[in-house]
Amino acid sequence: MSAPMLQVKNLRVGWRRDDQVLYAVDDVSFDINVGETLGLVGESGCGKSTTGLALMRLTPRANDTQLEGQVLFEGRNVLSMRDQELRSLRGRDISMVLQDPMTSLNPVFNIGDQIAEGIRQHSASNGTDMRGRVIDALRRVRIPDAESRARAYPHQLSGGMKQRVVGAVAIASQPKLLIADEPTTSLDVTIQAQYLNLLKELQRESNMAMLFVTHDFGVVARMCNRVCVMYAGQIVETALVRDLFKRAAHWYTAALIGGIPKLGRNSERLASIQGSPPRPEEMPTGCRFAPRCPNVQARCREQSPPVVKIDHAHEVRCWFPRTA
Amino acid sequence: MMAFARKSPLLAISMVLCVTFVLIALFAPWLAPHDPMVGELLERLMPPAWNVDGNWRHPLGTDILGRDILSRLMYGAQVSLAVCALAILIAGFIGSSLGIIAGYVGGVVDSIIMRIVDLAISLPIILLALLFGVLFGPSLGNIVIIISLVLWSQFARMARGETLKVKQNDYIDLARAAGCSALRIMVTHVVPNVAGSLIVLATLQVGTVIIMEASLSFLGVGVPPPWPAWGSMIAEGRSYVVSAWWLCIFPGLAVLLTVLSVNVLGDGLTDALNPATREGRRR
Repeated sequence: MSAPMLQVKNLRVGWRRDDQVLYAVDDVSFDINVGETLGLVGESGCGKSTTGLALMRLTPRANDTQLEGQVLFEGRNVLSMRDQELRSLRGRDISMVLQDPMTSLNPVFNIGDQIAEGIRQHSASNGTDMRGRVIDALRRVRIPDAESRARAYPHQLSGGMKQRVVGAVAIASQPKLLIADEPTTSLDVTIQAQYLNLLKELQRESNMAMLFVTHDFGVVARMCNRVCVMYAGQIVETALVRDLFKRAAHWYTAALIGGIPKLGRNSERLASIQGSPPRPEEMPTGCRFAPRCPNVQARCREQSPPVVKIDHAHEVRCWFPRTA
Repeated sequence: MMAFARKSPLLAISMVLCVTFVLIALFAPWLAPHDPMVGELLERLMPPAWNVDGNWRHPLGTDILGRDILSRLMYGAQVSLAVCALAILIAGFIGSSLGIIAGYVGGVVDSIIMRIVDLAISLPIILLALLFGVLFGPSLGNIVIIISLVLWSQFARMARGETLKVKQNDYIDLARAAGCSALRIMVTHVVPNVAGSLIVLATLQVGTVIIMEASLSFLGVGVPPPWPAWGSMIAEGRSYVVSAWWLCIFPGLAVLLTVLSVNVLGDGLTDALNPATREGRRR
């Protein structure tokens, strides 16, 4: 197999506070191959969105953010790019869809103009050609009556429709990688399903890779090839989707999956994980999950666990992985 | 046009008034019945035409030197509107640009710009005006410069605050993700979203500027005396307000109507700039 399109190596994202640096993302490594969908799952606050933003060097408060490690996109390190290079990467090679379609579109421009703006950043297009590309992008996200909708303003569209437009903006320049940060969280279930199907079709049409950030295992099962589970800024388990559901090796993953309600099983209470994730300023020494782990041993509290390979596509950061 | 007037009569009246004021200011030399600077001492302190002692040669009466009030009002409109337009344009442009930069870039740049704003807010305008007057002599240009020096800080503050609010929105992040430069994001995404509030602020400042200009003219550092300005007309007439009310009332009414109509127009403009309220009118 050829080299992966995107390689993230030992990525750390931290903020300086007083004289120490607090890391929201700590030593994260993963690869994404051409056309593949990688899921990034975890509780809120575990650093998954920050990881997504860091891939394009878009972390907020750029002045006091510390980015360490490497993000190699087709061999070039994003973290050391010059501004010019970075701007041509953003939008053309990597694009993004965010969670809230309500604030993802600028209320003062019609949607056609907003799609055109993205295209204009990366290619010289004249008026009629541009109009064609805009309408084409709207058609690709299955917006009916694209010609007249291009003149609509965001407030004239429903939430699901807006999220499709956000998708159209993102794919208009035909990116190679789409970072989707919980794109369906604010949509209702039927619209959610439609949107996921749409993303899948778009991906198939252009062989685009996707990083799918979510906390919803149902979405993961449906969309992803491989999954990384994040906990407290670290990736604790990486596996193929079916392996993850069948034989989760990390106790945290197993607990998360145990918390999903299942049809036909009549349990009174859903399993939950005791306690809450540690805050960056008080990370436990040793394994970060140790205080909440059902299988905690003395060693876990003292030493950080290594990343162990279970089989060729299955890695876990644990001293005593579960065996299924 | 008629449908619009029926739907929002206040806006329509304000529009007509504003246009009238601008037209009067522009065409004062052709419209004014008399020379505003030449008085006839025999006809001094004549009351308005509908009064018993009035005369239609001077519809709004004459002042202490026998100069025609109507003509002076018309020429005064030139001064007021010129000062307003220039000061607000200059202060608005500089203030808004700096405010947007401060809000968008943040960090050290923000701190520096906002400290300068604090400095500008604490400037004692009257003292500054007197200093300018003494150094360079009274002139229209001085008024504009002094008023702008104080006024820009208001725009900077408002622009910064609005920019911080707009910056929260995901479309700013997405524009960055699409590869737009900071300048481009400020111009195409921030400016249109903050323009509404800034335009309202600008119209609210019209009243302030007219009053500032009047105070400065009153102190003798504004427009040099023979030239009429609404502010100095009120100031000159103020000692005769009991015996000759028309000296103060007519320039006062001119100020009142101008400020009122510009404010209403500003509100209407805000609605027109906001797509969510514009929709109703389009369909």
